[in-house]
Amino acid sequence: MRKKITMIVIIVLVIAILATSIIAISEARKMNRKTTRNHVIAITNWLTTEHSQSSDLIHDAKMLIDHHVARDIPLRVTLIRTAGEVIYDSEAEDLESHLTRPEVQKVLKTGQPAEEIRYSKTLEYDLYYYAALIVDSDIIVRIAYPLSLEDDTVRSVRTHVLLIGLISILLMGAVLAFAIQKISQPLETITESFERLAGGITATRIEESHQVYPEVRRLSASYNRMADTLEEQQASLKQKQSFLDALIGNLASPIVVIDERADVIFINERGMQTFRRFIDPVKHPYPLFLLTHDEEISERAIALISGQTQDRELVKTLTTSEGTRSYHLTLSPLHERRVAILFHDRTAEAEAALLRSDFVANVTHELRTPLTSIRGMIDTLRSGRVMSQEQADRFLQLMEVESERLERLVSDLLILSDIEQSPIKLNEDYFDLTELANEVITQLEPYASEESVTLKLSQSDRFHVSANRDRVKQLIMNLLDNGIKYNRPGGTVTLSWSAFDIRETSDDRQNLSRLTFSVEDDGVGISESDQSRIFERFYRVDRSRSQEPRGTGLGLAIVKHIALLYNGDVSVQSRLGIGTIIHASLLVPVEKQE
Amino acid sequence: MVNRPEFQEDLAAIHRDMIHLGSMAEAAINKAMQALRENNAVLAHEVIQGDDAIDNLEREITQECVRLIARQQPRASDLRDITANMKLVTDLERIADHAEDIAGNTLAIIDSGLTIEIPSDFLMVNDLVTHMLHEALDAYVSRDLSLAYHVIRTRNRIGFVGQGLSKLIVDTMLDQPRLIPALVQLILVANHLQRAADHTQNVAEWIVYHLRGTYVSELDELPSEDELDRRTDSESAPSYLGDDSDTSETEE
Repeated sequence: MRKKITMIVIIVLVIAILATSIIAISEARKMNRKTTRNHVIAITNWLTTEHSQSSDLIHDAKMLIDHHVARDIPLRVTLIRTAGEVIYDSEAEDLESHLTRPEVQKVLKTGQPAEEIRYSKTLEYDLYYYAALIVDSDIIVRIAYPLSLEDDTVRSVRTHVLLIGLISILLMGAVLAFAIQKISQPLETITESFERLAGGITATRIEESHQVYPEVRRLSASYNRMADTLEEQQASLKQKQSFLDALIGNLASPIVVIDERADVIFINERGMQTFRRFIDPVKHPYPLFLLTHDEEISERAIALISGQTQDRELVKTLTTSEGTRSYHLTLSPLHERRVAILFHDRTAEAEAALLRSDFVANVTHELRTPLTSIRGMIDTLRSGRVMSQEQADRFLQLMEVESERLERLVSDLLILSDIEQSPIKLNEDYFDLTELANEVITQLEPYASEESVTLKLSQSDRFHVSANRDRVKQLIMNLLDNGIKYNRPGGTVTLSWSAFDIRETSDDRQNLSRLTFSVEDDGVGISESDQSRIFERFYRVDRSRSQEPRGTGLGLAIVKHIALLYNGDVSVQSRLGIGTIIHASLLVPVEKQE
Repeated sequence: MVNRPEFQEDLAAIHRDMIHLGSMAEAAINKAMQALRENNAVLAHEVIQGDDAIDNLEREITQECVRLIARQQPRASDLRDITANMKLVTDLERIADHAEDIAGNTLAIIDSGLTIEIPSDFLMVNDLVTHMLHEALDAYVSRDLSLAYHVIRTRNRIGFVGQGLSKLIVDTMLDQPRLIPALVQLILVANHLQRAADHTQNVAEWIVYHLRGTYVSELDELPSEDELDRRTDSESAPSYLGDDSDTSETEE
């Protein structure tokens, strides 16, 4: 651009200067010729009017010539008679007849002076000829005045004009270069910035205040604004991208993206691990079937892409590196005829659902058994087949036992749901643990002696505990009750506890201790396979004992729930035929009494 | 190299079908072994029923290969590709056949009404075979030479374990003659597993032939992993290569 502007300006300048010099030169020449002509006419007039004698005339002519030669003007004067005889010629070598010359011919014809400009071949320049008849004589004066002399003046004018033109071109060029530099420099900077921006390099900013021209300043300002916007958008895109990458990468569920032929084109880290295929699908695409070994998923995805179905949910049992699991698949159509498939492992949920329905079935069963007995006995009593009072009393006694069992079951269920649902104040009471234990033992004593089991409280530290007294009592009661129930006659059930501080206190400032209750019996013991299940609701080691009126199958489940309520846990140690120790620990504030 | 796009598309279609067939064979073996471990007659029946689809796909692939050779007359590496696939397809189909046989044996065990404990060595062979097949498929998909060599090397270890296995089952027969009808089936299953391992080794060898154009003979000393790393640069060597403990899939 800079070159183009410079070229155009210089061409315009050259043309202007050329035109000026041509006009100036022609004007100068015109003026010069006018002056020459006037001068020649004046000389001729002087010769023609003042002199009639030829000798004088020759003398004057010679004087005139000398005068001019002294000024380096080769003036030529010729005196011709009308008959054709040459009287005088300042350059006398050529004395041929001059009558044939056009100017002389004109004078002869009209009697008036005549002029002519002719190129002289011998002298190689233009000559101005002027001829006139001397008054009252037959002599014609002819003067030849070299025009080359006046051309010298013109030439000098031309030289000056050209010189001035050259200087002005140089000056203009310099000024122009400076001006163009001023415009193009910032343009170049802006161009470079744009190029860098296009190349993906961090955009630079242009100093607006340094710009001289307001147009460039505006351009710079809008460039800066654009760079700002672009950078903002880029940053937000990058943020979104990294957010998505992190999200998908760390997702605990496999995600697979497939194309319209059900070929895998993306799989997240988790997916690779789950399906144990560490192939980069970008480099080596492969069918989804290789991962899932299931046709239906691929078919559903293709149907979804082609719009044949809108059903995006699918439940599948797949064998993966995590074993045979139940997956809930969500298919989401993406742009460009692709589908993202999310594999949600819902094995745990399925198990939980199974557990829930088991629980309901269990509760129903446990409730129905005593109810059926009571109904049966009522029917029998009504039918009138019971004759003796003794029999009737026996029936009533049995009905009482069954209703007690129902009552216990309902109250246990209530306790369980209470623990599970209603948040209670965990540390609302402050009580003496030994006192509480003695209270429970006193309460259970009749039942224990009925079963010929001795209850013992081992020598434990005296503690004051901040907890819900009812819950702790329930826990001790259930543990002891369980020990009595599964003991043999003559056995012993021993309750003990211990506590140790936990340094890392949790959210509140209370100093928590791990308080562990242990109940040891020397009863039948629990087999290893049953040990993990005894804390489940309605689980009974010995199914045949489930009809026993005292047990609800919820005792240890309640113990476990109370322990969990206080962030503790339960465990069991047992050997068949030797005995069982059940531990239940709670995290509670404990104060040791001296 | 035939550069016609039509040809390349057809070849890609064969590759897709091959991966599909391989996956089906893998699923069949896994399912058959699961049926054996869990005494699951339903699964065993599924395997037997699924074999027809595998046979059909094998025939389709073979025909497609023949058609491609006849029509396009490929040369050099393209011809080698198709030839390797024609050999591979047979081996994969045979693996699926062995899965079907194992399912049959499982049904026989279930029908006998006898409960036998499956020896842990047996489960180990099972793990090794499924792992081999899994890796062979990976090698096929990602054209990974070193993985293919790894599969061939794993086969040698199965032979070692397999010998002890037969002896163990025969000892059990002598101890508990009552279980013989079921244990005979178990020996057959062990045989099928080893045949399946042989075919998987073949698969790996055809992959090597496809990628390098050379046959792997038994006398050849297999290149070490280091050598392979040097030979096959960027294309291969995934991180789990040589991770033999990774048999979690079949343990479940």
